[in-house]
Amino acid sequence: MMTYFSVAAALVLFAGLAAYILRSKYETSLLGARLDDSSGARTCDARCGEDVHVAGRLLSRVFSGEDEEFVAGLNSSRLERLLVQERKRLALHWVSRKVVEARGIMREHAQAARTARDLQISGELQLFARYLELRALCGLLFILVTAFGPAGMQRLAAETDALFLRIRGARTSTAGVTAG
Amino acid sequence: MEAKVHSVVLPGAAGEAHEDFCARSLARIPSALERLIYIASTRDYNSGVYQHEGLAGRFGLEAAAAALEYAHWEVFQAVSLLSLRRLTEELRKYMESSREQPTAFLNAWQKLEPYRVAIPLRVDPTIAELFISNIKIALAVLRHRLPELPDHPQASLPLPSPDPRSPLPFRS
Repeated sequence: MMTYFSVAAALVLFAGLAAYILRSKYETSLLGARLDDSSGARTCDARCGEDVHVAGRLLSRVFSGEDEEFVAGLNSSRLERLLVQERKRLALHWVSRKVVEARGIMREHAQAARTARDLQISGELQLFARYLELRALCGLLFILVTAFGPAGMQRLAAETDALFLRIRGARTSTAGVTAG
Repeated sequence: MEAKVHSVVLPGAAGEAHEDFCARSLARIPSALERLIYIASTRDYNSGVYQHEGLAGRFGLEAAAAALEYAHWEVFQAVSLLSLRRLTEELRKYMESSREQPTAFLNAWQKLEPYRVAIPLRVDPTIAELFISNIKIALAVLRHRLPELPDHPQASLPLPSPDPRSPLPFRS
């Protein structure tokens, strides 16, 4: 009995470690890409904004099963494999970007907080708790998408995105307070 | 809603140029993918600056470039977020309007990936990835359906001239 438990625990740890290594690999490559196009991205954010409506449609495109139904109707296992592979890659790209962006927000916030005079401890704790929750959700999404693919994960992805937007919003409002 | 958005993002002459471009040029192009490829063709490959003589003549170079850049961003986003079924249909129509043999068209698009030049300079990277990914899959779907496609597309029309009053965009 104890042996089974040990093997199961080892397997869970191994899966967690593998997911962590894979995610780190994705984040590193994304960080490089982000640094390359940071000048344009900043302008785009300021000009276009990250439209919540567009973000929702993007999520539904990547995480819903609508396209899978279309490809399934073509009766080609090669096309089905291609779609699953592409959607999985996109979903992991999205999850990793959220982590990288959230980390950037928290880093900027920490820098601003060091010089802030009117720091509110409760607000800071709430922001940090949300950040931890986001990291946990992203980790869970990463493991689930890697194991089962993104189809059907739309709700979890939407929850993750909503939390990310709350963190970004809280960071913006806090920055406004500290700056004033 | 749309007018409100672009009046905020594109002030003054650029906003007017955008409205004019959408009404006179884009409205005449029936398919979203063709609209995207047309707008991307107004961008200089070397500088990334959008150029349209007719629009620049009416609204000024800067306003015209800003209007085209915004229109590009809008149309790109719309095409990227199309369902795979719709995008495959758009691509099929575009392939037929190109008057190329389907096999030659698919070979060129799958090997040379010319659709990458249709990506705006400033765009959400995940949306750009989604666009590339969807085009790849749509091309694979069309290749899968190749036996069903006509070898010699009948009654296919060339890409409509966007505005007979303004000349085609020049490239430096």
